[in-house]
Amino acid sequence: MKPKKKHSYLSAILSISMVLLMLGLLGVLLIQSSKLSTYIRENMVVQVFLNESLAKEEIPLIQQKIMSEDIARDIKFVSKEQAAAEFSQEIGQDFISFLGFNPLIPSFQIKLKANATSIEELNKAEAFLKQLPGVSEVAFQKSVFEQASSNMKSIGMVLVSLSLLFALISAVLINNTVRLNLYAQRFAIKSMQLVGATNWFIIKPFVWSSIKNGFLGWVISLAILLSLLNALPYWIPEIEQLYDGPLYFGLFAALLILGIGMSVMSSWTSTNRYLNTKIEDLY
Amino acid sequence: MSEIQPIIKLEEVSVFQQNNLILSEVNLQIYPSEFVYLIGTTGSGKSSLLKTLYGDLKLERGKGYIAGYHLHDLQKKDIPFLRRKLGIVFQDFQLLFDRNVAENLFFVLNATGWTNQDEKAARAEEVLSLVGLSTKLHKMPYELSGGEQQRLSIARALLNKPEVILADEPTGNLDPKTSDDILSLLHQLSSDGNTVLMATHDYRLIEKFPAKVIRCQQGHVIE
Repeated sequence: MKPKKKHSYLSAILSISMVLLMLGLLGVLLIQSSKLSTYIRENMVVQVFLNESLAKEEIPLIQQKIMSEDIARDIKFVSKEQAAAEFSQEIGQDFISFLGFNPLIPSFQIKLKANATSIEELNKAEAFLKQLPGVSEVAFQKSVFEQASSNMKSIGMVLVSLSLLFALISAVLINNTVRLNLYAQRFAIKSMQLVGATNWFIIKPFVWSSIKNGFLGWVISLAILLSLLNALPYWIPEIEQLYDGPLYFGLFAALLILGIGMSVMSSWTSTNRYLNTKIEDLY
Repeated sequence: MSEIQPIIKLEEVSVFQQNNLILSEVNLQIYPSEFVYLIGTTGSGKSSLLKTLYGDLKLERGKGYIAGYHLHDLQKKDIPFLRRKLGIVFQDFQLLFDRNVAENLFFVLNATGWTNQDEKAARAEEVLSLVGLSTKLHKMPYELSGGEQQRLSIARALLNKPEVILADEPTGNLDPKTSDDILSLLHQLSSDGNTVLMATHDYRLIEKFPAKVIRCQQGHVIE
């Protein structure tokens, strides 16, 4: 391959890889924010206070009923004594000896599943928990749930809109890169046609080369993305908890399809355009 | 004995470039192994007529026949196959400048269905020796002189043993000495049985290498 031609292929591969890297970073951000949203919502606690008079054997039955509703990710029973011990530890004083009695009541501390944390589902869960026999009160910070849900929705919307915009920009950039490369070969394409080559015979090597360019661009962007994902926990150790293998796999596969797909589509349309253009119009 | 059929035949043909009428009422018959000059001033329609013959311009009016193809019925999908029966030589050579002499020839052979590697190599060597470029197999086109590039273009045109060679001002970019060499080569090919239709406005060449002349003039073709 001539150095000039090599250079143009290299710049096409690099352009594709940079565009895919940009999209990949946005994809990672989208996945991370969605995971963060789930993490926050699933770690908010709903407290279900029980009647003090409730018999011990009734407690597992209530727990069973709560678990059967598919709203709780984690449920923990906190007895009157446990609650007092935890509270004493928290405030650093033995408040029972001070008060002379234990005013706390037994409860369930529930961590909800992410899908049960929308305001609508939360209201339903509250109504369900309240009507259970032996439940005296259901307490949670509704405003925090509302705020978290609304914030996450806004962030999600912004990220999805940005992704769509970036995807569009990527398509235009990849298309331009491929078109520029083919523009340099427009006369060669025409010459091939004039010596009796069929359109498919002419298009085939360009498509094959665009598949290779798309693939190599993806490999480069993937290498950079993986290096970043590996390096990030050194600075933000907590971030590793939010990593999601299957979703990342999906993202990488989507980037591969996008890279090759856009590259092939652009080279296909550009080559076809030159094949259908009169030679005098190529000047 | 059966009568010899013309290899190119045009009846009441009009040639259009986009919507502009370039030539009208063209009637023309060229027979196998004839050498014919197509002359006329710049813009008189020589190239347009040749383009019609190799399917680059659609024949919209009249009837045309070349090397077994009816130009008036020519489908887009048939054009590559028509061109395999023709050898086309251009003023600007139309070579593939990103590959060497051998690769230029191999591209055409691959594109036109040759599969056997030995046969391809033999045919490439054969046409190169015919045009005197046997030693330039691995040269890039930009390493060749103008005359050599045109010789390569002719070699390429000969690969599929064409029934007709259409040459559009093949000496337009060459000096007189090189032009003479190219003309001599084309006449040699004609003597070997190839039909040659060559567009030119170089009257010196016609005087030096006389042959049948047809003229594009004022929108008509005159024999």
